[in-house]
Amino acid sequence: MITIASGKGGTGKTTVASCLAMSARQTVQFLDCDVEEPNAHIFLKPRLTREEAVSQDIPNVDRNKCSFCGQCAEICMFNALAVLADEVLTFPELCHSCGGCWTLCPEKAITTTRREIGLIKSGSAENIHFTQGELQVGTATSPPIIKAMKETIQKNSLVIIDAPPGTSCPVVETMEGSDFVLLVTEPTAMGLNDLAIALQVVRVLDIPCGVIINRGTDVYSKVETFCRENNLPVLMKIAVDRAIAEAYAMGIPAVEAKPELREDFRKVLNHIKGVTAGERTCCH
Amino acid sequence: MEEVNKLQIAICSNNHDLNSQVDERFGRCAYFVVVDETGNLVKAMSNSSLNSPQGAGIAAAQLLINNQVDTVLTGRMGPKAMKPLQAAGIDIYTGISGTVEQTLDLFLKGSLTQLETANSPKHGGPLPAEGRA
Repeated sequence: MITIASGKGGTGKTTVASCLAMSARQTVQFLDCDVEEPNAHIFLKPRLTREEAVSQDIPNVDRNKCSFCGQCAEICMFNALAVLADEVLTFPELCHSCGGCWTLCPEKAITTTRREIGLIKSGSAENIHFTQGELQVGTATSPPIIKAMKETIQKNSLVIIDAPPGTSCPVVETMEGSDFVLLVTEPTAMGLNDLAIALQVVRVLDIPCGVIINRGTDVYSKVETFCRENNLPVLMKIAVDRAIAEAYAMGIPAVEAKPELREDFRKVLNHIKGVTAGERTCCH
Repeated sequence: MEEVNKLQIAICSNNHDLNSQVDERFGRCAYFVVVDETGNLVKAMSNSSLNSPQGAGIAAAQLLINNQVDTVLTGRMGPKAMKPLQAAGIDIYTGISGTVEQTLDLFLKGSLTQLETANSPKHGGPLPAEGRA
C-alpha cells in the first residue's frame, strides 16, 4: 500500500499516482482520497458503476435524562457541543465521531445518530480497480470517508492512494497503515517548506518514504540538498515539460503524453517493493 | 444588607486589565475582561480556545456562559458563537474600540450596537502561522 502525498498542493500527486497505476504490470487498487476535490478519475477514466453513501456517528442528547453537567462540552476537543443551564446545543458539522461525549456522559443521556457526509464511488479502468470519495458540500470532516474507503482495500494487492494535500487529519488518516509514502514536491521554496512539514508527519507515523521532484529544473537545488541531509531518497525527477502540461490540461496522463516515462515509474515501483520487502534501506 | 447584583460585562481584549487594547475578534481574542457597570474590574479570563483548530467561538461562548456573564462587547462574531450566547440570554454588542475602559464608556453611553445576527462569516479558523500563506 503506497500513499502519494505532499505538504503543498499542486505539486503533482495525482499525476504521479495515476502514472504509477498505469505503469504497473499488475492489477492495482487505486483510491482517490482527496475527497474535497477528487480528480484522478479525469486521468484514469474509470467506468464508475457503484455508489455508496457514507455517514458518521454524531451525538443525540436526551434532554429528559441530561443533568446539564457540561462534561460532554468539556471533553469535546472539537467544540461540537455547548451546554447551557437547561439546554445542550450540538454542532454536528464540527463532530469527529470520537465518541468522547456519549462514552463519558454520567447520565447516559447521549446516544448516537447518523449524519450523511459524502459518497464513495467505484468502478474500473483496465487493470485498475478505482475508488473515489466525495465529501458533501458544506461538510468539513473528511476522515470518516477516507476510513470507509480504506476498509475496501483487499489484502495482498498493490494499492495506490492519492492523498489530499497538506498535513492535517485527512492526510494522517490516509497515510496510516501505508507501507510506503511517496512525497511529491516541486523545486521551489514553498515546495521545500511543505515537504519538510510532510516529512515530519511521515516520521511520526514511522513509514518508509521517498521523494519525487516534479517540474524539476536546475535553478533551485535546495530540495535536493534537503533530501540528502535528511536521508530521503529522491526516486525520480520529472523535468519541466510543456508536453506534459498540455496533456494534463486535456486530461491526458503524463505516461500517455510521454510513454518513455512508464519505465521510470516502474523503477520507482520496484524500488518501493524492494524497500517494503526489506531488501533496501530507506529514509528512516 | 442585601447585595445588588451588578451587570457582568465581558469585553474581548488582548490583555487582562482595564487599560488593555480591545480585540475585535470574539472566539480568538486573548482575554475576556469582565467589568461591572460602575467600571470595576471583576476578573479577566484567558481564552483557552484561542488556538482551537475549530469551534473557538463556541468554546468561548461556553466560557462566558459558565461564568454567568450577562453582556459581551465584541467586534465580530460568527453564527456558531451567537447560537449558545443567544440561547443563554446573553446580550451581544458590537463596535468596540480603544481600551477596555474606553469601550465600557462607549457601551454605557449607548454608542455600541446590539448584535442580533452574526456579522462575521463562519469557518474563521485560526490565523495562519507566521510565514505561511
